[in-house]
Amino acid sequence: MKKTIAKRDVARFLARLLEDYTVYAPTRVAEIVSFRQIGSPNDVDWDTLVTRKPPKEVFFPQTEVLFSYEQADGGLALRSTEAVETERIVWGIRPCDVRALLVQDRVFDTPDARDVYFVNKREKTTLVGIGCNKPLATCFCTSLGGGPFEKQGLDLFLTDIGDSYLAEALTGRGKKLLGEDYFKKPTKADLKAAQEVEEAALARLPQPVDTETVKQRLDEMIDSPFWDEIQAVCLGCGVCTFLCPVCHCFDIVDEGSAACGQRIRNWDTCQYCVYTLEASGHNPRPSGRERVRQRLMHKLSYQPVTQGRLGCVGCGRCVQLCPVNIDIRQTLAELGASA
Amino acid sequence: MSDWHPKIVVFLCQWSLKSDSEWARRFHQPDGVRVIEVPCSGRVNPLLLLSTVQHGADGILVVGCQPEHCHYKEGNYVGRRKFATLKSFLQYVGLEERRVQFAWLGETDRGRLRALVDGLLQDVRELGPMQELAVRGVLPNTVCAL
Amino acid sequence: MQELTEAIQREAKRLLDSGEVDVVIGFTKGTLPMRAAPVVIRKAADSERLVWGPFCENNLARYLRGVRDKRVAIVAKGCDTRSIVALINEHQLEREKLYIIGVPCEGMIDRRIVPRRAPGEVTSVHQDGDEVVVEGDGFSIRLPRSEVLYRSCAACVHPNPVIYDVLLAEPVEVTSGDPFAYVRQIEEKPAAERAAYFASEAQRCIRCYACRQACPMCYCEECFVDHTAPRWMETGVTPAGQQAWQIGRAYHLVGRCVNCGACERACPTEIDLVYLNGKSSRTVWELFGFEAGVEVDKPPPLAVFLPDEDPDVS
Repeated sequence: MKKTIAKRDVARFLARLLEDYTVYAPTRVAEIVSFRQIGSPNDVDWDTLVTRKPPKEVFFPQTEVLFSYEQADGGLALRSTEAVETERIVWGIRPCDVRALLVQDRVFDTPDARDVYFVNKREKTTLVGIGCNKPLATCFCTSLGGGPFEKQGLDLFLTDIGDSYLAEALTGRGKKLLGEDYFKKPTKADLKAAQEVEEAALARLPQPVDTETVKQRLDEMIDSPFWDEIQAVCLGCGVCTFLCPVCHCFDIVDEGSAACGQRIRNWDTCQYCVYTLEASGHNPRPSGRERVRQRLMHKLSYQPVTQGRLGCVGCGRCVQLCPVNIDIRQTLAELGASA
Repeated sequence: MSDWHPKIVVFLCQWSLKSDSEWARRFHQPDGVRVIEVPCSGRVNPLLLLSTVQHGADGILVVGCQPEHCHYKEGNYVGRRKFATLKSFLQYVGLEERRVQFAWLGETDRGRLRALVDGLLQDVRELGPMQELAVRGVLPNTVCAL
Repeated sequence: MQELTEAIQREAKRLLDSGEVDVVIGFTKGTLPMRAAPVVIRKAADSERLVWGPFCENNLARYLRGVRDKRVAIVAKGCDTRSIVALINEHQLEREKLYIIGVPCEGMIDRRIVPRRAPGEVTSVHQDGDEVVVEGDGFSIRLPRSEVLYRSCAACVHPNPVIYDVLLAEPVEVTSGDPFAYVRQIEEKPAAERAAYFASEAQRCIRCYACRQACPMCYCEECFVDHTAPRWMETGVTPAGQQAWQIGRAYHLVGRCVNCGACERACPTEIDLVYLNGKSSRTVWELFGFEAGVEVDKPPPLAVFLPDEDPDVS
């Protein structure tokens, strides 16, 4: 179902949503734009295409209490974290970040194992996406099978067509949101405008990369000196993994005392040297070489096999924020090019 | 507010006690004062002091021996520079100056330890409970505010 | 800039051709506007990849750890050379194994400020005398260079290498008056404001430790934050954990930090680290008359003491 909503009515729409939902949207705090809970429509930042921190933290918080414990009556009382009860909306999520969520679904929600914390939040959340009219120079979703107006995984998809948005409901959840009277039937001109906007966006984005070839070459290159060049300058800082919408490694710690405390899950990164350090002292990934290689192979070779999806969605955050300008697009270009 | 009682932690060099016969080895600790004996003030890791603040101490006192009286010769000298820089740092990030104090006891300082502890208690009472350097604890399972 | 680029390329080629060094660590052109990427060159023919410019913002001394079995040439600006001196003083580097290609530095452009001053997405930036030309989709603006330098560069009093085997250009004039001006500004505020500022900065910390990884002086094999016995601080993005990490790392840099700003530049959430680490430099100057990284063989201030000194601790 497609409708349009005038931009001047969006604030009212958001205000209405805030009555029934907890809403997360891109907000600017001290120049950093990330997804946070909003209190009013004015909190939303409309100018930023790629948020600093990815929206994965709405489902997979960086620091999450799994349960608390307390000494009581001669034993230990455990208290589980409260499940999310209120329905939530993530507003303004981009197609690349949704694509990344679909990868995370295959990690946290499988027939064999369902992560209750993730699944609970996922099931309670409606995704309202916005297409990318002007992709950044660092965007490369199209290289990896995505696109600026890809709708897969979204409940409601908004396209900016000038004075209004075209709003397309893709699921029952999305349709539910289109009931208000400021949603109008789109005109032929509206639909045409949406199409033009999409074509213009695609024209700014790179061509698809042959990811099959990339995978094959990676699998042959385990011992290649190719890795020495990148790892020579990689700081092992982990910024790429923390800002990546797909990355999902975590560490579990107990914090507190014998009397009371919490079991906590924190984001972790394969880029730290202690990540694979074993109690014996042996480390199967002892240097940056193995760690940098593992990151790229995980995303471009292993995940396509284990999860049926690529581990990179081309959002460009790692490209923008790597302190030493290691650029995964360069790696893709070198690997994707024929031998 | 009237429910609040100051909690202070004293890191006490065991050798400096010898200067102060008013407090015997196993002394009665006043309410709200937790004493931790250390073999030397130089042993006190500044991270320990930071951790103490984060665990709820409203004030800290580190007591060592005067220069030239360190049982291990130089421990207190090493300690002095560390504590000076730590204190300067903690003040810079907003900790009130009087909350973290360092003292060096000598042979002529009998009775001074009691006075130091009482003094810190009084300072902390005036300053109120420690607000800076955050309260320990994890946020509930919400999106982390950035 | 172009002259320096050529001089660096020539020197690198000469060193690699003659076998005098095994590797040259320098910068190459970045893949984005306002970026130059650190690079490690092993073949003389690759020397032409080396560049110099106002985007060479990383502290390359960071890469010297772990290359001790080779003879290494390094392109080093003022702050990089001070890190080298500090590392030599902590016995982490052997001077004989280094060939320091000294480059006087005019300061690096802050790639975070420029996009905020531009009316659209920036596609190219270059320096033109005292100005910086910023171009993008349908716009071209000029900004005074002095307004877009990294703050640590604007405050720097050591733009010229303090140690080198060759100096590729005439020393530059020091334009900064007081390297600690911004620290003093904070010191003068009341305690409550200082606490609020620190809390608001620390709140952005995502515990990625990029600051630590970018810093030449953070070379501990096990960082205190990874200790489990004892666990010194909370591990997550809680206020207690974030603040403890910031203070802990800054404290461990007292007398060692050269204020290069690499930490702040690496930080993905742009925490004001220069203000925090600047304080430790000011403290060791005020209390011990010490400045990190300017004198070889001067021991670190927290490893020594003077029996008669009174560092005013009470």
